Amino acid sequence: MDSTSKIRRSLCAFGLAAAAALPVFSVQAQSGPIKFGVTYPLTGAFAGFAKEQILGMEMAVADINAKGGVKGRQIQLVYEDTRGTPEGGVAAFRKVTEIDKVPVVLSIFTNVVTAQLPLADQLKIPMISGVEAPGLSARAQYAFAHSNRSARALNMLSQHLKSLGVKKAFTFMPDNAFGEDISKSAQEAVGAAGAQYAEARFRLGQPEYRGIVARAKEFNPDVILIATQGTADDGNVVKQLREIGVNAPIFISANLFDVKAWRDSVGTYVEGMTMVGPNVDVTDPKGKDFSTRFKAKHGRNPNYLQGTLYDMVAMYAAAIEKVGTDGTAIRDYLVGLKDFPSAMGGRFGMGPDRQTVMAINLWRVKGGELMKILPGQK
Amino acid sequence: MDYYFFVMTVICIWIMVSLATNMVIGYAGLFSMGHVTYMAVGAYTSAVLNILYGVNYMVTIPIAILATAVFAFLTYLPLMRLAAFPFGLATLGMNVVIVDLIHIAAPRVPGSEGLFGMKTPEFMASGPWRFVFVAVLTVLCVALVRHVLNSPFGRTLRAIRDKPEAAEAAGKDPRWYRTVIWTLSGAVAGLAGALYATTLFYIDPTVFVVAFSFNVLVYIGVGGLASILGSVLGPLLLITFSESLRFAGLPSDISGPVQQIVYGALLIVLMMFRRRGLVGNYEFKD
Amino acid sequence: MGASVMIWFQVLASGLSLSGYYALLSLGFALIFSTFNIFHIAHAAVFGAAGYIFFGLTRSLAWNPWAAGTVAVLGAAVFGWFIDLLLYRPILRRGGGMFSVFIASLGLTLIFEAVVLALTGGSLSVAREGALQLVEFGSVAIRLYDIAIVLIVGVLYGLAYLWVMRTRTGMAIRALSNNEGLARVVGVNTMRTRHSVFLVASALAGVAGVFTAFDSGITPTAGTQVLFIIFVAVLVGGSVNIFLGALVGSLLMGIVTAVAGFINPQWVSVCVFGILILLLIFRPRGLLA
Repeated sequence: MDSTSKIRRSLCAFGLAAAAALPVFSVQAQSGPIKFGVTYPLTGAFAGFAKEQILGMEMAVADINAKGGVKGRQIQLVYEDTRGTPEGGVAAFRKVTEIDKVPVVLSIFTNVVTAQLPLADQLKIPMISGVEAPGLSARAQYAFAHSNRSARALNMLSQHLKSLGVKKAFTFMPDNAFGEDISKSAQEAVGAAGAQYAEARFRLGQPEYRGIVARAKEFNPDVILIATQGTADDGNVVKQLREIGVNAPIFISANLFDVKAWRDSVGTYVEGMTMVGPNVDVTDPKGKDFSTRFKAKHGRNPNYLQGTLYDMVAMYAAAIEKVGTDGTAIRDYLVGLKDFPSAMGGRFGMGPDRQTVMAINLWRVKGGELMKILPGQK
Repeated sequence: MDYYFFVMTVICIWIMVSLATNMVIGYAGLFSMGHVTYMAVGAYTSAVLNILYGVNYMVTIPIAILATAVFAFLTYLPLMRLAAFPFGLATLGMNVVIVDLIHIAAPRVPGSEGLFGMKTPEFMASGPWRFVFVAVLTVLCVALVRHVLNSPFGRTLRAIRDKPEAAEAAGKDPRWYRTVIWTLSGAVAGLAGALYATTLFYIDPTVFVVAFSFNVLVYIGVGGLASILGSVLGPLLLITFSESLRFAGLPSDISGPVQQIVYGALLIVLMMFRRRGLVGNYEFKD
Repeated sequence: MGASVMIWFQVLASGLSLSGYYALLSLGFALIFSTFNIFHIAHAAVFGAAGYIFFGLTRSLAWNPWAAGTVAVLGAAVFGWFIDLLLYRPILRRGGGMFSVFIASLGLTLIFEAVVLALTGGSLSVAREGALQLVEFGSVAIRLYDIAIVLIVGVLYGLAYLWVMRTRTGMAIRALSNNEGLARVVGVNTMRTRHSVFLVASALAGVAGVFTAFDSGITPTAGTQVLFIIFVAVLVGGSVNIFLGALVGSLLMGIVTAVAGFINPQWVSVCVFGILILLLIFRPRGLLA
């Protein structure tokens, strides 16, 4: 029949087009740029959040290339969209490692990274992510995490709460694996401070938290703790808490002062909040330099997410400079990483489970400015 | 090369889901907007049995198929009473509810939001062989579904779709035929789910959200309703297209949206100019 | 004991203010659905467009919020009207039915989301910076903003009710929603009615978009998320009486969202869609039928 031959013809044409689209396989050239794979969500609900962080990576690449690159070669980021899904994550990981021959990968988001872990080990490609889920990096020999474990932040908060004599603390956390982990740490931290504990878990990606914030109002706490992954949703939680008349001081488990989307959603309610975590330290020359140059380029202060992303690129560049592009050699170098200078100022090293340990501090927002405080300081 | 094998394996799996959806939308006129629900049930059955109870993966496949078929049968019983449009919305609601229920209640590996660490037979460890295995099952599925739809059963099904009163007058009970095809469709989607769980290494609720059910609608809308070839062509062309965007060298912040814009535009163009899709044999009436 | 009762009033108040947003969206959606039998998913895009126009004008161009709001609502009205003119009507003219229009509407929504994502980067866009004034009744705190919304919704519902009940266009709408074929025979000008209904319904969605962008902010997918709730509200309300149906459905959804959010936020969408499924099965023609 005519229609079947038409189908056959269109299928053939399609096959040819597909074949033409396939790139020619090549081993990564010895000259030309060294490529770093970036498997990030470029579409979907978290694309905006990811795009913010990419600014940090791009600045690191520009800085390294301006100084002559790595082993005399420029570095280049190869972006692949994961769509924030496991399927997209696996496809993107395979594509950058097999087609672009990248020696290293940067990734993000627990569900995507979990799906990519077996590939990292199988292909012997180091992968650094900023996920805070406990022990995720422990599951694959080639997986690294450059982030602050929230348990450490909560520990610091606990001392602070204790010296403030807090009696009742209500904690908010996302209802995902991160939240589940933080729940235990938060209970311990609040218990250690001798205060009564209650919690509620909110769903990410929703604008309405007016039902859940009423839970905090019912508990009538002295302080509110928010365990955050740095998304704008926490900002809406803060706003809606204040707008049902909850006035207790708010403590948050990361320094989100300069995270743009979060600040936009919190608005003026940021005043008086206490934050704990790593941040760009402008009293350190390196942090000051990073901050000044970022501000000159983007017109605002950099945040800790951009700082850690900068560090990740710098770690890879240092590793390749030292040991070349072999995945196992890079892994071994990173495992032994010590006293590495952070773009945010200060230094960090690789801890157990290939999770970095970096400096954290307590901060208070006062008069619209961020100031460092000590545990117990009013 | 594993990248290509992975993409081809994924295409095969979506062909199965498209086929399952087309069986009910195209051949039975039952407008399902949430067929990924059944894929989720198959995937979770297989993964839970394998990871948490140590059941051999090959044994979990038939169990997943059976479990999903039973689940599809049970969910169809209440759905059966609804007219076309509320039916579609109820299946969509079912998809939303199942994703949330999995999120709330399904077992997970501690510290993650889903399940991973499936133990598969030795031969499935390599990308090419996993692809061969999935491809063979896809071909078997296509052959089986084709056989069913070309049989007297399939002809009656289409007669019921087009003229339910006439079929009923001839002594055929539409409810029975629709229930059978729905259950069978669930079984195919369940198989696809069980295969998807090993292809991805990791499943969690985000893998089965409504957006993927909509994707399947786009696949069969483009390929063509009531057509086996259409169910194959849709996912094949569209997934190849979206993966080839990776090679188009577009700037990172447009390459993602471009795919969605093309999908949306395809839907509009199809509804405007060719409602039966590329090779379809049926046009969904209201 | 008193405190625990008061907290329920607080939750209820939150639910009511949510209902205000829902009511604006569901009235327009129900008008289009019952008059022309069109399942207008792209209502979400109209809502989003108004929100982004408002955000852009107030934040980037520093316009006065009232002027920006007016422009955004007008923009939404025209956008919705264009969707019918350039998308739905050509499809219907070529012999497509309710299903084809629905799929095309979905296609347009996907395009809208992707374009907005490419333009804005996808992060939350909030038009306000400052705090909102609260009034306290005992321990129940309510925002003046929410009281204003409820009043505005009341006024808009009243105007729309008069429009449908007292004008010629309104008579046509009532005729069409009962039986389109008959209406045409009787000589109702279907085209003119179509223009009016799409303009009015989209303007109502525009008002909701502006309020949302000002308050909690919008994202590319915010419209689709809220529309899932809207269509449950509309189906719950049924189309026997559009006004009462949209109002009752929105009230129920607002209260369910707030109460489920208060008890256990994980169950919010299970509750919303559970209601939909139960209702479709037991009362397929709506709660008020």
